[in-house]
Amino acid sequence: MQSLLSVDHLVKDFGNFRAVDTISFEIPKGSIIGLLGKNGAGKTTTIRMLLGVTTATSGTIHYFGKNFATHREASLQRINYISSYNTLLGRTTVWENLQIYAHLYNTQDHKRKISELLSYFEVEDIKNSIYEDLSSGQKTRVNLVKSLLNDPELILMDEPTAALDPDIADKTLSLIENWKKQKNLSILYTSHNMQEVTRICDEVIFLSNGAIVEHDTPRNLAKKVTKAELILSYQKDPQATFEYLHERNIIFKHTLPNQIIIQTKEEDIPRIIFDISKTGLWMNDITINKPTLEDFFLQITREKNNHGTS
Amino acid sequence: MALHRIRAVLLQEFFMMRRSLETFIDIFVYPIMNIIVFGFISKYLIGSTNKGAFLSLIVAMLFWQIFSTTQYTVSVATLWNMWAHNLTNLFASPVTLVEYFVAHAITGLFKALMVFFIGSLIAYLQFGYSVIQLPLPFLLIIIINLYVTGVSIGLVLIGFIFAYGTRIQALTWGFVSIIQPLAAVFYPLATLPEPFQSVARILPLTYMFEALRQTIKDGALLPTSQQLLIHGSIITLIYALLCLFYFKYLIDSSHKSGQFAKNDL
Repeated sequence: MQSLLSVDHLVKDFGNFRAVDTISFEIPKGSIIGLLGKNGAGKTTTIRMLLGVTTATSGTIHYFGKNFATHREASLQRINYISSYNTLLGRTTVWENLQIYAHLYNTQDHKRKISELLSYFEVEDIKNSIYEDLSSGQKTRVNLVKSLLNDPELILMDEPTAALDPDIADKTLSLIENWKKQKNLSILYTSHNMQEVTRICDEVIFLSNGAIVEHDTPRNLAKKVTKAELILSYQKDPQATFEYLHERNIIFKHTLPNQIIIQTKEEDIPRIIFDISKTGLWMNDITINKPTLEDFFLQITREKNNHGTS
Repeated sequence: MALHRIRAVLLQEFFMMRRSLETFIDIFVYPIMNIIVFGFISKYLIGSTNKGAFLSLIVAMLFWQIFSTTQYTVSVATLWNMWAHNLTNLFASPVTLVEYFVAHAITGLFKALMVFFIGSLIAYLQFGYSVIQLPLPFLLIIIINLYVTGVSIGLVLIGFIFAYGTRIQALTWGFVSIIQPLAAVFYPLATLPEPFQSVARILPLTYMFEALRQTIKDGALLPTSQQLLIHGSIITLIYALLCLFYFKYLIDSSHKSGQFAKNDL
């Protein structure tokens, strides 16, 4: 598969502090790759190096097979960037801001293009509004319009929905997903919202202390968390079930009356339900909480914290 | 260098200028008011003793605006992008630093000439002094020198902010107050105490304003003024080259330290 972005042994040192530690990855055409990690893991520094606003200490970045260091303008012409931390000029109107970027990217028939995108993101009615007067949701959508003005093949998105409420974030995400499908767009996506990442990313790269510690699909990463949760609500006769759980050394909590919370491996859950049903427990509800990417994120960051403090 | 990207930065500057009362006041109102005040001071003093010296006050203030407006435009326009958190967006596009600052140098020239034109008109209508009394080659040489020095100093000041952050942003509008007394803008170089004269002699502006006073006094571009213009032009050129190299160094170090992107937060 054709690689749009190829990062090879990228390192960034700030004095004695290594912010990004020899990372290598590729973004194939049409893929959404999530870049995750706790605060200070090196995500934003990586994105800044990918944009050329921070110089790498060593390593190389190739866009479309060409070295970014020697083909900056040509590379940036084919990619774009959006971040909730970077906004457009506050005192100028939405239309004026977009016109500036359309000229920067030499967008052909830019008035039609801007109108088309404003309409797609349902913000055409605010085109003459002053940018700083917009709500966070409107600003994000205008920033998205800006990020698509040059028909980019790859977009670097640094927490684009961070400032949005869940409803607007969901809508914005749907618009991104649809646009991605229509245009076969590639995206490098950073976020602290694991549900969002699970929803839209094909693969996830986990950074910790500047280094890549995991790189896999969200589903496979979630599977690496061994503990799942089985919640059983019952009406009567739990005694035999408690004996069974004690006998098998299965970890469980009995925090509420008529409810047992069992912590176990995901693959053991069907067998445990089957065994418990044989103990005569009169169950009236079964809930299974499967491990998520968030559990993996918590597991990996806590492991690293423990290593760091031990 | 791509013209469409220079045009985009010019467009940005136009849109910003249109909605920024602060910039309008800084660039047009303050300078014009200064010219008017200096005009009245000159008018008051001309009646007393040294007519040429007092006339040179308003003319010096007029020409000073070429330098200060250009320097302000080149430096402060970038601060607007930093304050708006728009700098990373801008440099994540294909625009290069050269294109970006060429556009600002163009707007600097346009604004400086506008202020100079309006100021000259006021000087003529209100105080009866016409700048076209000065020899045309002299006028062109001094404008070019003051403009180039304004761009050079403006670049270094914004380079400092790229490298060390916006905590030193006051330099971009305050630097003129530091350099003005040293450059002997309104009085002859000999008026300055000796240690300051040595500093003044390495500033290109000093030669321009010395030449200006001399030409007003002589009523023509005589060899003394020509000599001053030649010295001043050489120093302006040396300054421009040094400032460009230093600006490049400051930009590179801000990219390395990460400060360039941090300025946007």
